[in-house]
Amino acid sequence: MKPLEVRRLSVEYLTTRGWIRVVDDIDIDIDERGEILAIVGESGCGKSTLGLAIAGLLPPNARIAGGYIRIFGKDAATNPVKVAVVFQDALASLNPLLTIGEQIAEIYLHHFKMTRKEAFEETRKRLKDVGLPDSFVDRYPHELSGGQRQRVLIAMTIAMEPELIVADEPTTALDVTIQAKVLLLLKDIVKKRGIPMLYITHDLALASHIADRVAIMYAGQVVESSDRYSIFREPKHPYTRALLSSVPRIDTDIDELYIINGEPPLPGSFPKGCRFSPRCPIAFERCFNEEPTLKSIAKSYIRCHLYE
Amino acid sequence: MNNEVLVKTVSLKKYYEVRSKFLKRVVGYIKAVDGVDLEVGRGETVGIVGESGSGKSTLGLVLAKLLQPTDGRYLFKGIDITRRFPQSLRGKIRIVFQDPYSALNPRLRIEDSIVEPLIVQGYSRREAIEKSIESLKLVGLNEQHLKVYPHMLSGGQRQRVVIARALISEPEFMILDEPTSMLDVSTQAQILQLLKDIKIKKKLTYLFITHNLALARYISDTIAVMYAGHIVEIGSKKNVFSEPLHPYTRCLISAYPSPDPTIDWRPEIPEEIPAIRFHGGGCRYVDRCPLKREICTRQVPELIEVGKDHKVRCHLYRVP
Repeated sequence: MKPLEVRRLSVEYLTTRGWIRVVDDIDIDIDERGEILAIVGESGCGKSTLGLAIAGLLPPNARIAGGYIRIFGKDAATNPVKVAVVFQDALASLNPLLTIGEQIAEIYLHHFKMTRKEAFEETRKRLKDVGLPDSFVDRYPHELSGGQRQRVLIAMTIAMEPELIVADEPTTALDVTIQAKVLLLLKDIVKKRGIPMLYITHDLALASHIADRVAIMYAGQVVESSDRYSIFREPKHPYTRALLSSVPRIDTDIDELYIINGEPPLPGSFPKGCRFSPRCPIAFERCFNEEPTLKSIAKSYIRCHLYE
Repeated sequence: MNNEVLVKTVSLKKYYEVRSKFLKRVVGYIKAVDGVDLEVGRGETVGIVGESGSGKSTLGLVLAKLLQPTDGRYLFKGIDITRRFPQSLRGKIRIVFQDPYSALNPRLRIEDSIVEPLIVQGYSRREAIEKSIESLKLVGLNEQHLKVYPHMLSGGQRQRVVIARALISEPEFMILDEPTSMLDVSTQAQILQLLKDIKIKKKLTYLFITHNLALARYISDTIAVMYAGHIVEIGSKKNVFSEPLHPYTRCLISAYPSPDPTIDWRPEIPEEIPAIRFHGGGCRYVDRCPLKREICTRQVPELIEVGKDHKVRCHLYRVP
């Protein structure tokens, strides 16, 4: 059974202008335990909403307007599923009045009905798993650095023994050196424990090293998804290609970055036809009138009229 | 690039006082910028790279004359402006910050944010509007944008307005403190290109402050790496990236991957420490350094020249 199967998923938010579609007709899969799927996109593309929908954490003003989410074969809308989320801001995710130990042990006390002694024993093991010393049991969140707090969140996440992890920009608030350590730790842990993970990020370079498969989102839709080698070596969708050549690289000198004109469209005002067509350098007539569908080509999926 | 030195600092320092909770007595100092010697040639772009707490933004504020340095000298076009800032140089040094959302007053139209300061400076309203439009055109906007409020603009457009406002006083030296870190990648590319274009058009000199090494590599001629108030390595972009010498520079470069999954990414990163400790003697990086030796804990290394356009502050490269 597939760890994650999302089909034709649409999510809408209620605004003063009525229901606005933010995530539109998304198909994504995680095929194996321990597989990491990166969702890459710019702000407003719907990647965080997609993550919240999968985690069952959509706010009250949102609704699933179509499609389904299946986690290990169970429909997430009607069955209880265990999805853990790691957010960007670790300080906001931790209770400032409780020690780290209390917060992790709580999971064992309430979810697993352990005794206090057993719970704290497990807590120490989890801290060790994320590379933190025993003594952190008695520390408070404000006594920790940003990287250490994010490690505590990862410890809490694995303590829950989730079926799926959604990591939404887990390291954006951290310094680059700390970011590298935390990300590689997270990757190592999900691989070792065989937990499937959805990794949401705006950073292509990080996605190329952390994920097994990558899905690129634009204006609420997946425009290309493929294994990490194909997407970075042979990007097919014009948006993917443009994104890759518009970011400075650390390993080579670039004389000129590729410039995508204009700005990404906002939900509620997505253009007619292909949503990337107004910014696409190779758009032709059909692109402006007819919306492309996600087509399977070899091992990739592409939403573009060029590949038909 | 010619050899005229536009900006020069000699042992520039900025210390923040740390006061006790009770009685507010001064109990110590945070040495945010601790003896920075920097030379920026006219037309050059110097990238200041470092993590949070390295002092890079404080250095930017001091160079923008928004903070008074604690000690050291600051020369601009050969004139000492450490204490005084002559009227004739006003507006020649400008700074652009990271957040274009808080840089513009949300209750004022763009017109009022840009035109009013000019009127205060003695321009007539018509002249001021003409100058503003000219400046907006330079950054790819037009006169229609004068009448709108900041919330009606996108993040990229707001940053353009902020740049236009900075350009209006015809600056020679611009300090750019993470100007694109709040923008999306596609908008970032546009703003970077704009900055490159106006630099040539207006013969500007840039100090580009960033935590992103890839970005620094793209925009800068010279790279200076800061750690805990010190410049630990400085040199031409080619030298610093092809032959990084300081252990911290190597750590920083390895910390960020290239977008190519076939290149193995193995960051060499020492343990993190919750806060940088300020001890009396010794190298600031000693607590994290994988190559530290006995001397490193005792003596502060000097910034020494190891080649043409390449200096490093590390005992490993001391001439015996």
